[in-house]
Amino acid sequence: MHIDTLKKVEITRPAFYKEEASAMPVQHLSKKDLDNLNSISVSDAIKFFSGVQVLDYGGIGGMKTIDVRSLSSNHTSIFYNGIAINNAQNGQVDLGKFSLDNIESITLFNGQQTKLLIPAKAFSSASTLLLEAQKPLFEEGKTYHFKIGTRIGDFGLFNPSFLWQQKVSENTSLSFNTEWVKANGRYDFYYARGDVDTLINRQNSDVDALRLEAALTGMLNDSSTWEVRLYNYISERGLPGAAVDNNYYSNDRQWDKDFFVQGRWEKKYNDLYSLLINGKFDRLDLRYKDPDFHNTQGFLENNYNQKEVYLSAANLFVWSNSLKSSLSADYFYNKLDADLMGFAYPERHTLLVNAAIEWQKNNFQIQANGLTTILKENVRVGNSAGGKQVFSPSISVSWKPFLDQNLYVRSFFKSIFRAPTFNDSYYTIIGSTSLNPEYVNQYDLGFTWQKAFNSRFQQVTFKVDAYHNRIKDRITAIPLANLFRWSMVNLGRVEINGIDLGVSGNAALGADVNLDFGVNYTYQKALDKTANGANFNQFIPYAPKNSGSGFVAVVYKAFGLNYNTLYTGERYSLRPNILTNKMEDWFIQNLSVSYKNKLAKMNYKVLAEANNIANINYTVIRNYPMPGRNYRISFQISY
Amino acid sequence: MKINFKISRLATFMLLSAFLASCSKDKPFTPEEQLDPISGVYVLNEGDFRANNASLSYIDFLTENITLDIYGTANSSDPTKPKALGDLANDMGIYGSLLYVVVNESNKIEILNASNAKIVKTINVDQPRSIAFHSGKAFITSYKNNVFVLDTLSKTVIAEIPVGRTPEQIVASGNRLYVANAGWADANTGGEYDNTVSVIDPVLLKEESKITVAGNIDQVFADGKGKVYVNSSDIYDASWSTIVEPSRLYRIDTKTNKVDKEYEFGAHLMAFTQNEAYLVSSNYKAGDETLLEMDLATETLKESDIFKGIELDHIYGLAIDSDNGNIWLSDAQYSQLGKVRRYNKKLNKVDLTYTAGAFPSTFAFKR
Repeated sequence: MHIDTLKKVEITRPAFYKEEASAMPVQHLSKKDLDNLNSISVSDAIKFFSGVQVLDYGGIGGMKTIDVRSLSSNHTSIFYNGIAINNAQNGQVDLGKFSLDNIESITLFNGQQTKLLIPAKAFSSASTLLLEAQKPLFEEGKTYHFKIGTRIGDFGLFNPSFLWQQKVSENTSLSFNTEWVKANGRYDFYYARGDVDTLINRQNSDVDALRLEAALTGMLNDSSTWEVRLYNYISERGLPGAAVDNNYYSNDRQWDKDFFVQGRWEKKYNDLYSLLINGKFDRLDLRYKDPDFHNTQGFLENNYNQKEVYLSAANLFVWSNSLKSSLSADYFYNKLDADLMGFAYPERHTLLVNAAIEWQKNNFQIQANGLTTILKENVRVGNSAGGKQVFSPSISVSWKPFLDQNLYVRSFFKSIFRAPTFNDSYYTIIGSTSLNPEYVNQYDLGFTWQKAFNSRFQQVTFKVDAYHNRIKDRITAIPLANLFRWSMVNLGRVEINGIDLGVSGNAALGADVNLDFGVNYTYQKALDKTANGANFNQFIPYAPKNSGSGFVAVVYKAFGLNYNTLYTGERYSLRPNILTNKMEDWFIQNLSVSYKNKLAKMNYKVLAEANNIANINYTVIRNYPMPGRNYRISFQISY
Repeated sequence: MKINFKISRLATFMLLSAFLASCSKDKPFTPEEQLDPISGVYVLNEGDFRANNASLSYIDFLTENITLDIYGTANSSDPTKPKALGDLANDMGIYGSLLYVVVNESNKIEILNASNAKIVKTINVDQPRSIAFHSGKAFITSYKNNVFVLDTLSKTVIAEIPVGRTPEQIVASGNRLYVANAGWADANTGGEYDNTVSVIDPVLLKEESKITVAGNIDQVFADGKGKVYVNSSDIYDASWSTIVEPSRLYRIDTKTNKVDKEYEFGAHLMAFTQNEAYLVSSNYKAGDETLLEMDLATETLKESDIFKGIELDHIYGLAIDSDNGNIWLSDAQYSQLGKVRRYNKKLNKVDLTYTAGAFPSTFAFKR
């Protein structure tokens, strides 16, 4: 049983994944983990990573972005099957839009991946979140695989999905996956009116989203591998906004149309040289409407359109058993159109060139890279932010000091920046074209220790990382000469000191009973260090000192039981660290039971989930209430 | 995605001080002939947009103590759970024994007992901005392009008067009310600014006429002597990079309802004594906010030095205590709580400084 489980894990993990030996801290959720975490979107699952805050605007359709080690969402890059998902307009990717239905694994690196044959873009962020789509998998002798599922639950949720995988030839397979999320999104929450709490129904939080995805993957005669993937997402949703006194939701609406096609081709020419080519075309349409705007036409409507073209070539050179190097070059073209008055219509060319080197001997590994970023922007109206060139280095080491102990020590330093987004530079009234990049320096020292036992208690893993981050020239909006006119500026420093702790393990409690558990805890101080600033040495907003998560999963024969928790400590909603800006801590518990079996030739699975079982009334973002206790049931058949 | 138009809206000047300072023939309604002395001042903290953190502070003149959240504590039996005033409190005024607080994003007017800030009644008004009083009625501008009329005895809305587009401030002068029609909601969505001031008859409850002044009129002030000052805010070019029509101050003679004077600068805050006006201008001197003193008789103008040594870049509220001519000024600093300062006329210095709530804007003197 034990050996079986380990094997399975090994298969589902991507090839690069060697968690314990990684020089940069890495956390991984496999398909099995994802099934255990009461999650339907990527944003639900990543809450369980240590050092991560998901900025959740509440409800099934509310925006959800990732904030790693308090560096803010713009410093994490998100990759879908190796290719970046960008939003050049505001740098924010809403992870609530990414369903887990088609996701095989989620991996978070502080810093970057520690393999070398990756695009230059993969070196360009403070943190890296990797989403891997489900790979075609066929049972012995079969050329197809179907999966049909439906999920229903509170908020009027109806969520059917369908997966079809087909072997087209010996080395080529087709995947088709579609999913519909329909929910009225309504839920009750308590609004505190002084000493009286009033039950309010949150409205205009409905979602109607359809995702269609198709992929062709294969291997050519020369053993090179390739994939072409089409992705189309269409949605309409309510934007209920902040729930403020006497005004608990707004009637704003948003429509999204996201389409991309991406492809990759990887070839190992010989023992010395390998090549990886990536490309993507992406188009994002967003329509926003405020039906209550008090102008003569009676509403406000804005349309935004983004386009991205991406090309990348990565080259790996294996000089010897101990020495490797890589050279990657990426090009992005981004354009934003909007029907705003006097809009600048910016376009940006980005060239990224990265050189990396790795040396390893015995139980020691060192990696270093240097990334050069060249940006050039043009506008149709007004001034452009012009060009920029920035060099960003990083270095990391991993060391296994004892041959007979699974102890790995790691450390890294990474310097990186985020460029101003199109909104930062060109947004009506507040945008500023004279912004500098926002720089981040990260220092990390940690270890992983694994111990296997010849007993019921099979293995345990401890992970500890201490880190120090510095943000310089933070891009932020402030009023300049007077309070009439705000503008984006580079202002302020932040220093973040923290410790991430993780313990996980598994045990075989009986012949048919297996138990997995994991606990993560983060202690951090993210302080404003702006010289002469009004908030010097105060906590930055939404950076709790304490946060953590945990889960226990028990499998007995065909039954599974899972209990998981999330905790976020006290934090502030605005910069002044005063009582009225303090937000209460919250502790959420979720529970799920599953049953899976075979009926004739079909595998089926039934899952019942209860979320926030203690019915805690809480908010992640101030005035954006989160749902109380809610239930979901799902049913899945695969053939 | 919505541009935050409201975040930097200026709050109105406190009307009542102008009323009470003026001579009796301009006073349409006086609750009591023999006025008690002013015993303290309410300070309305506008709050951050969408943060639901507007608050009401009170400074008692006898103890010189500030109660930071008097609304929250007066209306909750549990002091650890103060009641929230709401989102963006733009204006307030005392009329009779009641304090009326205008809370824009919370779509309401809170009617409070002026002696203890306890709620008397809450009235729903869509997107209210500014309040003025006349003949036993409260007149409230709303972004619905209306002025809501609230009967102060029955405390119910008795009429809605259509005015210009995106009305901002309202002021009473003589037997009329004057409404600044800004029209920025249209201007920001491809249309034109409004360029008028509406004149309202408080008895017939209708718009009597419109005075054409300039685009984007935001503020209106009454000197209590028959003159109404109106201020236009900056108008930018299509790309929002250059000011094409800078903020300007205009004077309306209420006898003729015509503009009788135009100034070469704007003033977004004004307060009056018997003989003088104090003004805050953002373009009298380039790049600086300036506090100005104007002699109402001679019309001579000079920079005021009464707050010298104090950074004045974020003046957010200005009012004058009619009992003694003391000048109250609030200062809304970004990312910190606002400051309230008093210039003591007798001592000729700033003698009191308080930390209030977020974006302190409006003062109301309590008798």
